[in-house]
Amino acid sequence: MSMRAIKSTTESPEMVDRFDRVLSDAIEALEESGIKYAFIGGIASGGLGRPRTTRDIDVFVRPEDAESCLRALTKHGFRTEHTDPNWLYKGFKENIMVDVIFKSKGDIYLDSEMYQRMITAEFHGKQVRLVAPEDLIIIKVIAHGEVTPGHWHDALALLLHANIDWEYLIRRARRAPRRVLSLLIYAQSNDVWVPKHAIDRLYRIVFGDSPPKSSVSEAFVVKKPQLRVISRGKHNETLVAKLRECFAEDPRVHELDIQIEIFDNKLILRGEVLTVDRREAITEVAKEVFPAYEIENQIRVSSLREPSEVEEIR
Amino acid sequence: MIRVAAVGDVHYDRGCRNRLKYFFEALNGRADLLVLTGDLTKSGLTEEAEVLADDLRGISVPVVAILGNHDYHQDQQQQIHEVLRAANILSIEGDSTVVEVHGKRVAVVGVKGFGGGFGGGCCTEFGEPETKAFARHAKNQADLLRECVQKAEGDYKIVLLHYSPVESTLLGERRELYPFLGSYLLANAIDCAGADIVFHGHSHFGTERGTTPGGIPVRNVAQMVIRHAYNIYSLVEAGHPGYEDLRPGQNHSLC
Repeated sequence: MSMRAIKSTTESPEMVDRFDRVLSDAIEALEESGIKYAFIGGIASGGLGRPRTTRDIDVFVRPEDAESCLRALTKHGFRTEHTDPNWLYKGFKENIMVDVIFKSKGDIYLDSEMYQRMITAEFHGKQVRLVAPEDLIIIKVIAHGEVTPGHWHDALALLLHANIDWEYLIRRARRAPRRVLSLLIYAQSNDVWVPKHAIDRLYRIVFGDSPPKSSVSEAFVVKKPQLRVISRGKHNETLVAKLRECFAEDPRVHELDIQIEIFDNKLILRGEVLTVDRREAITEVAKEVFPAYEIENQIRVSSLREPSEVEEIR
Repeated sequence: MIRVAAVGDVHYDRGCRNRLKYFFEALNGRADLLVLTGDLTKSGLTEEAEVLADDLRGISVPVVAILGNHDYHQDQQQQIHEVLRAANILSIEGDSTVVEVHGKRVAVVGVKGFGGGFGGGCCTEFGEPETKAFARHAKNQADLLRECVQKAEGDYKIVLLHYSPVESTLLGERRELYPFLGSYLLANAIDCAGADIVFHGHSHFGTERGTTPGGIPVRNVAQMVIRHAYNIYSLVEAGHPGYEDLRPGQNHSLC
């Protein structure tokens, strides 16, 4: 994950304060809930591309986490609504809106590759998780339309300002190759540097090298039966369940609240425990169970205070 | 008016010595009573309970404790009760105790409780013996709770549970876990018998404040939730009524 500073994205000082406060509450809610998420929309565009005004906070989550996300916001004092069960929920606080998006236009979901590519940036002293610029470009070019031309220009600004991994962009462009190809050509026409190989490769993806070899309609082609294998996702779910069981049952640990994420050969552990020893014990157990994995232990050790106030019960 | 300090899920292990000692000592003068809502230990070992008992020695207000599921893990729950009692902690299960505060009698009822779930997603005594045993334990705990609260006599009635009696203090937990975090039967038992306040723990990702359907305040004081060494609650008025006090002789249909 790379780091960069984000320019201010709002207007009046009062608005900036309010926006920051609400963003901070939203981050706290999201971090505490342990769900996978990344900011998109104005915060990400402002952070990765051009500084621009934003009045709302767009959070991208997986569909299965949308409900938990809304509940986490409710818990942190947001008024929430199930705006559209197909793709969007909303939360409101101090007149600032949080869009909880779980399917972006063109059937884009927060998938595991997008999540791994996510970057962390600093926003007014806070760490925020943003989708990678390549993913934001794809989201933007697909979302662009007659009433939302801003998305097109956000995408152009990303090409201009962000450090683009062209390999990754081309791979991810398969969702909307014509759109992305148009954007790259349009960008060149605006004197934004785009490598020729990127345009060539996208062109071949769209139009191919030569005319189609066969005129047989696909409907008549009998497909070879494919071996059924457990999908990587399901396999990982089983690994997570196995490790969760070990954390609960191993006498060194007995922790039931550790969040576990698996990427290729890396295990990320998140959550909170009471002592440093227990944090270390968790790494130890994880290493024993999955010796082949690299363990990244992001677990925090909680710190306590005396309560500053007394609640009156009447 | 009485001031009650409450915390749950302190999950002591052998490495926790002094973790809460100075916070407990600072309680003298700030609260009249300390209640602990179970999961006092990490693994249910007596050695772990001894470390906690040591940390509680410097405290001069009465301490009432119940145990949680972690404290049952090694089948040493009786020994844990004994370790705590030897340190002057009123460690109870399926019982109540009365402490005197400013000339008022404060009855503290303690029952572990159990899972089973809430309206729309409950476990019932049907099917395999294991399922029936699970549902029956939940029911028995609720019956025991009701009996204990009804029998308890005091100007104030405080209920200690480990599991939650309501859904509202679980907000933040995954819904799939609710049946393992509490049971609506517990809230019904308390509403029927009447109490001033209910404290519980067990749910680390839940929310502090809730109420029973009958209007009795519920506080989830799991340390992970309150994020303090304990929280302090001041009970202003005594004698919160239950269904039977509100509609005497009507044999309320839920009771």
